[in-house]
Amino acid sequence: MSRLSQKQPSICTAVPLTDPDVSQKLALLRQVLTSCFGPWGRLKQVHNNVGGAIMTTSTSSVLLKAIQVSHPLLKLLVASILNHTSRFGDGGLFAGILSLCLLENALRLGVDQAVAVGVYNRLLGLCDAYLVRDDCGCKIRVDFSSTQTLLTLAHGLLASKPACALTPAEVKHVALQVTRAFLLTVPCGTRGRDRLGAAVVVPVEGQPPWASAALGGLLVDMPESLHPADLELQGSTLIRLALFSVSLAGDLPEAGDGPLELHGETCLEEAVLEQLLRLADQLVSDGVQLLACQKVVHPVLQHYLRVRGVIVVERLGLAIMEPLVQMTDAQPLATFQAPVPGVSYGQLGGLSLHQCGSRAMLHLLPAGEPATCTLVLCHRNQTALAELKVSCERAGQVLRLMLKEPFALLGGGCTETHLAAFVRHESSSDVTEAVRELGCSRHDYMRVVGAFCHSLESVARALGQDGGVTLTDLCHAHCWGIPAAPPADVPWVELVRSCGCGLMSGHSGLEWNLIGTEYPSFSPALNLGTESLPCVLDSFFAKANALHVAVESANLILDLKYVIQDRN
Amino acid sequence: MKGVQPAPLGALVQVAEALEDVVRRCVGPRGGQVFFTKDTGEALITREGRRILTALQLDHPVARALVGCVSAHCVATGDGAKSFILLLAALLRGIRATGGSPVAGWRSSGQTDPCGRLEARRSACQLLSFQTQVLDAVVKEHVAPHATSLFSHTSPAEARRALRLLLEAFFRGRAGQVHCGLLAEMACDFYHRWNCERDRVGTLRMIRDHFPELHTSVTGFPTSKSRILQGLVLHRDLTVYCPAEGPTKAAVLHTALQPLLTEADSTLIISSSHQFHGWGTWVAGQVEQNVASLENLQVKLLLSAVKQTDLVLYHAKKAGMSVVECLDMEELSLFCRLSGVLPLTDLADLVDNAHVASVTFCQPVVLGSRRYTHVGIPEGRDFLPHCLVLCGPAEGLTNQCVSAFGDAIRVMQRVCEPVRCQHRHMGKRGNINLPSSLEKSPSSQNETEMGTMKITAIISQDIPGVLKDSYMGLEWPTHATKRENILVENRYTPDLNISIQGHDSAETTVGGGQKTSDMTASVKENLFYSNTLIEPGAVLPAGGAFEFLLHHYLLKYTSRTHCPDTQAACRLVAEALLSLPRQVYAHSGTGGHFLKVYTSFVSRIQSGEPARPVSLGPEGLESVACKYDLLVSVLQCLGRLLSVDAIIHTTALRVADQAREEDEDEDDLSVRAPRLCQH
Repeated sequence: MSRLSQKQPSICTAVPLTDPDVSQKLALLRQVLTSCFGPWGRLKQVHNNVGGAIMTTSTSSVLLKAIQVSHPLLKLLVASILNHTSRFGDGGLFAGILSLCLLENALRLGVDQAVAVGVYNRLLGLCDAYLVRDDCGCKIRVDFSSTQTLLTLAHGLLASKPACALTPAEVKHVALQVTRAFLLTVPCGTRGRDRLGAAVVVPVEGQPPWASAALGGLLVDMPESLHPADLELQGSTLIRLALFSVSLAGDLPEAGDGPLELHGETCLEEAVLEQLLRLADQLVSDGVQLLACQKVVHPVLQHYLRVRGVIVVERLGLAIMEPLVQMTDAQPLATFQAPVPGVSYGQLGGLSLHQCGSRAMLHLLPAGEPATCTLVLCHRNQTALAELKVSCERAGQVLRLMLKEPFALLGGGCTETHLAAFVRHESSSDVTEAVRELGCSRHDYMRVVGAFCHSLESVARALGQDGGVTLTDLCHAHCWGIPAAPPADVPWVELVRSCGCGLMSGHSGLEWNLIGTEYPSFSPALNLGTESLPCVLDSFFAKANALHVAVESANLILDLKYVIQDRN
Repeated sequence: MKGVQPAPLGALVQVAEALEDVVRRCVGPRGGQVFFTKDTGEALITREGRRILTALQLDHPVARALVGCVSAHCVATGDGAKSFILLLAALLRGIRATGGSPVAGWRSSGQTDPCGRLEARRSACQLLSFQTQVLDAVVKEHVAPHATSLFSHTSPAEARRALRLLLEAFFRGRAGQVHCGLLAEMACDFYHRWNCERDRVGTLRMIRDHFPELHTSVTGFPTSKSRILQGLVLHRDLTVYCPAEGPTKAAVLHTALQPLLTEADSTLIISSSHQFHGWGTWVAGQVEQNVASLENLQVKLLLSAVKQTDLVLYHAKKAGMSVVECLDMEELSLFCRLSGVLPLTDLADLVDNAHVASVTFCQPVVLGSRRYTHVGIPEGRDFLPHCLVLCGPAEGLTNQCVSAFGDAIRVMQRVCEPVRCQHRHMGKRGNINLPSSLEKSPSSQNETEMGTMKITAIISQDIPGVLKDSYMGLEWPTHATKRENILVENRYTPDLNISIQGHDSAETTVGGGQKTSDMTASVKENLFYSNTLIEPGAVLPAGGAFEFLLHHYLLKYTSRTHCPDTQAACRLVAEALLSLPRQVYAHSGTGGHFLKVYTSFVSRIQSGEPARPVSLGPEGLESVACKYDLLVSVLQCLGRLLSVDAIIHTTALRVADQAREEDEDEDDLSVRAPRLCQH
């Protein structure tokens, strides 16, 4: 009882957003996120002051996990973004920047926060409805008959992660491997319940990224006692495999809660080993050539089998069991006490050695065409490899999600500027009805709409290079970047090359406007007549959800009237 | 005992006003939310008054007692904590205004302090009797007739719309304004999909009891992704999944299918390795046999409360059975209840068909980052089970949705139940044709009440080792004690008694005389409902209709009664009632000014038009029963607080602490923590 102390009353802060300290913190977080965004993003080095590991990253999921935000409001926002990225793999920075911009813009306007929440929510509904429309100008349907779109998506994801430290050619190579790995996991069969196969990522440090490869089948660590010469003995015929999920280390089987009492000369260890060897005899007589075990295999058993020409692979781990079962059709055996039924054996197409630098790995080749593959990722140092691994996993996730909704959004900021132009146009056409529904003044409504569009455009601007200028055209409302501030007398048409997503190139007949400045509202035109594919794409699923998360989080924070901190 | 401190009225008002200040910003459709964090990193976003108040971890003993009362009320009805505080503060202000200047300290003003303390005590007793004598009658006879019933609509669309309006008004006070429409639609849909209409109270009670099992909270998706699923989501992944189409059979296991060789209290003696092998084979054989007998019963799904061994899983997979392990007992019992089977606790029962349930489907379902098991349960006698998936972008927000939804079900349940009269006074309305008993009874009742004077003390403990204070009510018979502070009370007891008797007789002559005729008629008409105060499903338009009506009729009642105390009590409550709509209309920019709404409403009542506040705000309905409950709870809480005489600080630990803690544990259960799978 003496350790208990009296409970402290909580700290209650009213209307937290008006605190200048809070707005300063919001601005700081926005700067951090904005500077990470896009292919020209800056890296962030995170370290603690007691000599812990140093990490270099610009990925939102890694960065936001590593930094500790102090204010509860920021914690709330960060938690929302992390939740989003863990589900969708992309769009974390987009959500964060947009959310913070929405917050800051709403606060700067000084309108009633409840009004801002209502308007933001209404505009989110507008965007949602527009994005699912068939004639939406900023989305394209993914054509599965060519790999171009998939490659573009994967490329865009990797290219926007400068911490991967890849040259443009390397990015292309890795994106190709990621896309290949994704395609390998798609089953070819036309049976009823097809599932996507597994893609196991094996990171290898110390090799150049060119060594990265997508391989069909699985890679496991080479057993120490196995020599490359042994593999050649197996030949190229199908290999019979027995898969155990139970430990073959000679542990006693679980008997129960009570004590065991041994009488006479009985030695249980010997009895168990005897059983194991009896099992080995059966395996040998059944023609098994490979014994794979999730857990440990008794050294005596290993030796016994090796002598008889059976390869033993132990300590596979749970993660690789599922793909292995899928690939070989073997049933993992849960007991060694009963004889092995013949149906539980699996088939392998062959074995080979995969040499990756100094690391040798045993490559289990599939027998048929099962959807299992391994993505070997190589990089020169640990930090870059960690970032590459995260990015590739995210890219894989995005590609998988695309199967759910076969759409992609224009990248390079074009979606944001396009949406902003659409919202500006659409909301100016039904002001009266909106004002009546929301119960606010017309003036306030138009100002909040402006804030929403500016926030979207700020995200597009964050993509630009340092010292550059971002423009939007007044026809399709795409986003155009210029590397350096132009001289005053040169017309923009001579500077722009192509828009952010690469769908359009600078030709005369277009008018441009600086992003963030006022322009007359217009309905953004569709990209009719362009056959070429955009060269930067974003995941539709991830971005649409990120937009939701951003607006909802901003709304939530705007709606907070109190922060109560429990200090116990 | 560390010291005795008086509990003056002034302190009470101060505490109530401080809490009112906190709550005020969150009241009504335009109110905001509160973000509650802990140093452990937990975060909660809420508009729930009760959570806000308990989160404050208040120090002042009076405040704690107050929060205790609010919590008790909310647990019972699921709503109304914020209105509770507003109403209470308004009443206290009213009492202070009528009772003269606020009271100075007890000790400083000598041994007695007749003015304020006497007034406070008197008002406490007045208010308590006011509820039984006046309020119930006014509500029953004047307010309830204005209400429409939620269930009287003939067309299903109309009924659905009415329910939706009720829920929307509820969520407007409880969730973010962005989500209330969505949540209301979902709750309404949930109610109809369960087929609650067949046995409203029973089904709703079951849903409420099993709400933790019936919802899954998913973090990382926008709230608009929330949905209703048919059947039940069991919060574990399938350990073994063998896809099967169409309806299958399921068995619920409470025991492992692999027999144990030894029990905890017995010893296994092994004398030879041969024997050891034999046992191994026997166990394997037993498992195979058990699985085979399940297979004979055509069971394709095993729901197990315990972990099964790998051997069992292996055989199950061979037999094409799906297995879910380590299921929560609560979930399993709900499954058993819904599908009407008995769990298998003994392997000897394996052949019995009573343990086999039929399920319409069984499949894994991915909700957020976790995979769960989704089973379909065939339609039962009165209901068709469904469950909820509630999403939110961050955990705190998901929890808010969950708790709001849980309370919405509680409110629906409350609406479906009739409010019965628990007071002897109303019960006697049945015998109203015996005038002699009517004449006598109120006074005799009061005498018995007064005979045992209630002294309620708040005992606060402030030694460092104590987590919580306890609030306890002591009942001391007045005659038995001779202590000084009791003497004070003895001195004013007779005076109070007289006043209440006076008030009673006045009430009986006026109220009773006028009511006898119509009351007897209605009582004879409907004996069964004679003590039903408010019919099930009675609703009034939201936005202050109940408060305006009651205010109006209480004032009207004042003009008919001659007892000054009753008049005072009526006026006090009537004025305080208006504080709620005043708050709601205070910060609705264009929603109409309070006075405008009020005057137009009163003129409507007087001209006999249907009662509906003229507000430009969104439409909604409110339950009369919930409002009535709230008022009664407030009056009782006020009575309890006002009759506190002294605050005694002690160092002793009380048993009451434990009871409190258990209470809190229960609360935490209502928000389900995400469960971890063992694999």
